Amino acid sequence: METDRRTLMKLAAMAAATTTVNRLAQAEPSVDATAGKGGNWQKAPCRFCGTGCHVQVNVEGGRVVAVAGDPLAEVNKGLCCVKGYHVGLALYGKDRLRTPMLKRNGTHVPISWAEAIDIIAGRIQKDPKGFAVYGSGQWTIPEGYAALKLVKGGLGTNNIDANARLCMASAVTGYVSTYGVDEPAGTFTDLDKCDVVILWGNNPAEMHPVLFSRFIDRRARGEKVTLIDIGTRRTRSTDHAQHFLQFKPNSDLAIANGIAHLLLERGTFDEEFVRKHCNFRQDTAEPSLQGQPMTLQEYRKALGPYTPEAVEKLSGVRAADIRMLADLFANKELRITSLWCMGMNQHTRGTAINRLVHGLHLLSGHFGRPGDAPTSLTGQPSACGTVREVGTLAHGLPGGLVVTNEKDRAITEQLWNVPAGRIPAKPGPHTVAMWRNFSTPADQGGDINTVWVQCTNPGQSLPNLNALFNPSRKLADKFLVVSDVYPTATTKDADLILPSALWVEKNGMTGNSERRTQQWFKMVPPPGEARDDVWQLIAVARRLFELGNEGMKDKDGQFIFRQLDATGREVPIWQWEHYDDINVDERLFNEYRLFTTHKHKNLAPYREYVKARGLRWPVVEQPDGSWRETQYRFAEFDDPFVKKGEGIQFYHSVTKDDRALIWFHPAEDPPEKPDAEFPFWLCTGRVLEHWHTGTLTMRIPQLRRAMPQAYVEMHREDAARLGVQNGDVVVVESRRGKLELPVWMDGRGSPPPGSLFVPFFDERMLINLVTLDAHDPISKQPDYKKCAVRVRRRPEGARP
Amino acid sequence: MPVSALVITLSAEAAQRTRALAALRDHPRLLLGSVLNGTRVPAVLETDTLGEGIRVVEEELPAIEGVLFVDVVQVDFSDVDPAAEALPLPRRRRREDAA
Repeated sequence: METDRRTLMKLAAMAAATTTVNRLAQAEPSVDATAGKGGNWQKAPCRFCGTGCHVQVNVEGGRVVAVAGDPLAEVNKGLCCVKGYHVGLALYGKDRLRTPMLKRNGTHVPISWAEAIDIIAGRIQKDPKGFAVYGSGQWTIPEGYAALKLVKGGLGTNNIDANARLCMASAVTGYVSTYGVDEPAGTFTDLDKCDVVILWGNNPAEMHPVLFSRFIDRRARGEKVTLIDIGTRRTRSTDHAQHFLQFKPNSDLAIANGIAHLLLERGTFDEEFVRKHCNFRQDTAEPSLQGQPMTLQEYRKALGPYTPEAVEKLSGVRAADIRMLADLFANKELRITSLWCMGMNQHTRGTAINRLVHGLHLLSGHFGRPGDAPTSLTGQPSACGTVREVGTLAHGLPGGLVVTNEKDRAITEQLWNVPAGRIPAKPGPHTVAMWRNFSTPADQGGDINTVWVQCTNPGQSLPNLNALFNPSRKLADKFLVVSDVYPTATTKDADLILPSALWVEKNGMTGNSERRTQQWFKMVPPPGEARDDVWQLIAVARRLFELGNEGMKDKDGQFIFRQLDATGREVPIWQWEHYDDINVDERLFNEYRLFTTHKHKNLAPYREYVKARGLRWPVVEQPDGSWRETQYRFAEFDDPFVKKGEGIQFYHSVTKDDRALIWFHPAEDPPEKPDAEFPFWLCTGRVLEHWHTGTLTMRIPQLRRAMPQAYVEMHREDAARLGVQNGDVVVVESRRGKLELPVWMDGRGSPPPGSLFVPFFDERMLINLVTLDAHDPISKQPDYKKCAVRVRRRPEGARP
Repeated sequence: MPVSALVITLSAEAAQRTRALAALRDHPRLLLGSVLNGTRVPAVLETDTLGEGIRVVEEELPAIEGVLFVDVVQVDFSDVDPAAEALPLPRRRRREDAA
């Protein structure tokens, strides 16, 4: 019998693989992913990165037992990466949090949910302005929306920010200050259409492997697709590149300026596109999203110093390669896709380099055609859907609205039916400011005394932990609440821990890097007393309502999260036993989508996402009642909001004239660079097997076995000089902290001499004790990619 | 024993592709389907543990000349107890054991 079963399993696997290959060859969905497989299969987006692959999940006996790539999903066409195909196992680590726990006398002890909710509500009621929420690009859309409404619509503060500040904020400010509105114009389809892919400090072979395989597949079929890797260290992506342009850290601005310089000096820029669709801008003394105007002549003059030879000196990239890039951009026959992720965003000049890369595409006219697009990839499943679109940032409101705009506040207050003036005009503290405040004693201005963290792990992921996180844990009046699924570096020192449901243990919606909104249903129960984050937020809001908090009432005196059933009776969704009486996700999403028309980020009703493997906004209702998604924004051939005859129209233009902005920014030194005392560059990042801080993937034994611990990548020359070999333990030390790590040479990545790389997934080796919290002046996003460190062998006999 | 469905992308260069196919056919854990579109081959991987599967998918197969990329389509772990695959010992314990 066992042999027969295994034979059947193998036949099913071969059928799945063959179907997928056929599907890829046809480039269109052909079959239902679950057809003929038997069992209870349902769709869900993967829980990990921002690619947004759809998987099919098989549930037996209340447990997830198999995961398959979803052939109906346009994003991944049935494929998964190694993390994705183990995503089901992330639910079943042995140490799942199962009950609320309160720290008493230094020990976490179980308490009831009622007591936990009372404690949080009590602290908020006592000092609402001293309360802040720190959320996540892993929040589902309804979770982020509920948190935002609780804080901004209920408590009347802007004390909410999210971890996407650490990964995507510079992409946001880049888009907003170039096009007047956030998020990419293109989509992943560009990877199927382009002739050239330029990776700007990006490693999709490991971080977005399913997207990378789309490109590899084209090349395997004999298509000519050029890959150019512009990076500070060799990675697996480099292995597939025709050109690897290794640059000195922070000199990417010089490279972009060098390309623009040549386009202008040679007269090979797209003069007509620029004349019709662009204005030029430069920074004011105080950097802003608007900047100040400059003329084309002034722009040309500013670029004057960035000759190929000068750029070679600044960046280390050969002048011939700068010319090669300029030649590519000058060729209008080619379709060029630029991709970036943390390399450009985690940068003290993050907004500037984002603007410059957009500027290259605009200046050269490589925009608005399939395959011609500058696109920032996201690292979290809903950094776009929840943080950027719902607006769970200190300055944000739903649908791209902002608190600093009086009209936007009025729209929001009206839709929430809360009194005018409820939402303050001043943005709240951004992530670094929030945590610095929380780590500052009250008598020294640290007025945030309670932080509620959901779906993220700041005790590991914040930069410069010794300044931003650790001090708060020694201050008696600072109370940290953490909702999570496993013990983490953050829960370890939390005052109150709340166990959360994870992924398919709850309903959910997320939004990926290409504006695609996705939906799934709950499939299995959460363990123990773990509960949905949305429920936790609503339960606290309700307790505040019962305590007489006026903010929890709308203008009619009703609870701000009030929901009625079909008979018109209020459903007590704050009671766990009634939470599933209605689909709370559907109610919250359909409320949220009302905001999305103001910035042309239109979303369809919830029911449309139930039917689809995601839809890319703007999603617009058609005369026949169907809903049409949009692949290419600002381009008449696809974007329904572009006026007929315009061709290209930047209808949210910063300058209100339907034009995008081409910015000039000079190359500048970073806030810290190697010197005699700290002679190495340090770059941090991720690895293929582990996702972010490893909370989930380190619980999957197979992934943990494949990559069991952090390490420091080092060039062989540096290792020889230090007298260390692979596996030897060294001390990596900055001006802020130090830690011990084993050396790895010639491993996954290869940094050049004088540079190190350390992944941040390992909670036993916190590299963020070492990193810098200097951040971009506009996006406020910290730079995790470059600081100065020194390295020495661990002294003989020293204890690890 | 976990069973994984894979899609292996081969080089467009004929000689490399032929050598890669030969190496894949010789792989004791792989069952190959028919090459489609010239460069993509469906495959089934059967391993003793999920950990071994990851090693094969992430390290062994991509190292074969002519193999450009390995995608995973499906994994069935219905008869696998994830916890049964013991983790490596903590570093300190390993050192103590070695001593």
